Amino acid sequence: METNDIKNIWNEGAEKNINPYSEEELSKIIVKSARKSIMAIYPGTIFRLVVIAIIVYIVARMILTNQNLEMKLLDTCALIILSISYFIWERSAYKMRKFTNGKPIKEWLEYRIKELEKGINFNTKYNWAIYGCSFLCAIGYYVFYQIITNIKPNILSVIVIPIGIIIYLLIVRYRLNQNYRKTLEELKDLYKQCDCL
Amino acid sequence: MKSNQKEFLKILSAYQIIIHKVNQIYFKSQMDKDDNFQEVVYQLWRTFPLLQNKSKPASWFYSVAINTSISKIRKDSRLKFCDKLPDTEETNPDELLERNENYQRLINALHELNEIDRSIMLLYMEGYSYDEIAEIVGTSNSNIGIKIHRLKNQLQKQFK
Repeated sequence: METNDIKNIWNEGAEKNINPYSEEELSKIIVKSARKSIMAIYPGTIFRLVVIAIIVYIVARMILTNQNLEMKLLDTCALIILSISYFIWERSAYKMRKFTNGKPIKEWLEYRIKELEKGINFNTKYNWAIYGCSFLCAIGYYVFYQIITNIKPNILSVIVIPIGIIIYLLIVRYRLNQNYRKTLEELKDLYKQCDCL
Repeated sequence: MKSNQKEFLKILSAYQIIIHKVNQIYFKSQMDKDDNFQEVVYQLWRTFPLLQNKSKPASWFYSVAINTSISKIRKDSRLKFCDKLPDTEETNPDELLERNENYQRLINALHELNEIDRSIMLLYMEGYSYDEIAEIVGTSNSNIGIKIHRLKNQLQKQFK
């Protein structure tokens, strides 16, 4: 085979097998890149499945098992908190990802950057309140569960579980802050390109 | 849409074929190609202000597309490869079959090479000079000459 044959095969084959995108499709691809950055701060498929599984489990337990009133109350509280938090998170993710065709990308990015900055400011201002309340809710639920099921306090319930919850919340806080800042930087980078192009 | 965005889209639209070609030599599944296309566009957008010569962006497109593809391959070890290329329309099916068969064999042979060698062969097949290839890949042009000679022999052996 001659050198030119390789070039010819390549050029003919590439021409036949490549379907270029239209400008509209390319525009959508740029928006998709920005969406990809935003998704770093919102729930993924595994997280969604875990939350749905927990909700289904709680509902099934309430319906199928013969629980006493306190236990039902506890499960209802857990269900309400989980459902509301999940709904708010999904709604926020939907709003951040939504893009109307024809809307200028710069304007679209501007809104997302503002929302993210608001989120970061809120998290910074009420940082300890948010995680303090989360800790109290988690520990309160656990203690109440122990009381109504007559479990006596032991080393696990007094030391291991609270420390475990604290470590878990600190990891969540660190990861969320990191992802928020990284996403904000990426969106700002994209926004700058709109000015520089 | 603002004029600056339009300008980026215009350039992207004119040179997108380069990304498609790079995708051809690095990825076989359509899903991986689409993912990589998006990633390359993102990187292009981010680095566009650094581009010195905006009237001739082809080399820059190649550099960004090749670097992004290699990063993706190294990051994602789960990449899946399919055996056949998508069907295309052609008046003479026999001719198409033969052409596509050779093209498929060439792609398969290219996939046997390492990532850098693939990019060198791509630029060579695209008609770039040794100097231009050396500049894009980042090595000396004497090395490129030797490398291309060796790679051509390797590909020709695989075709026999």
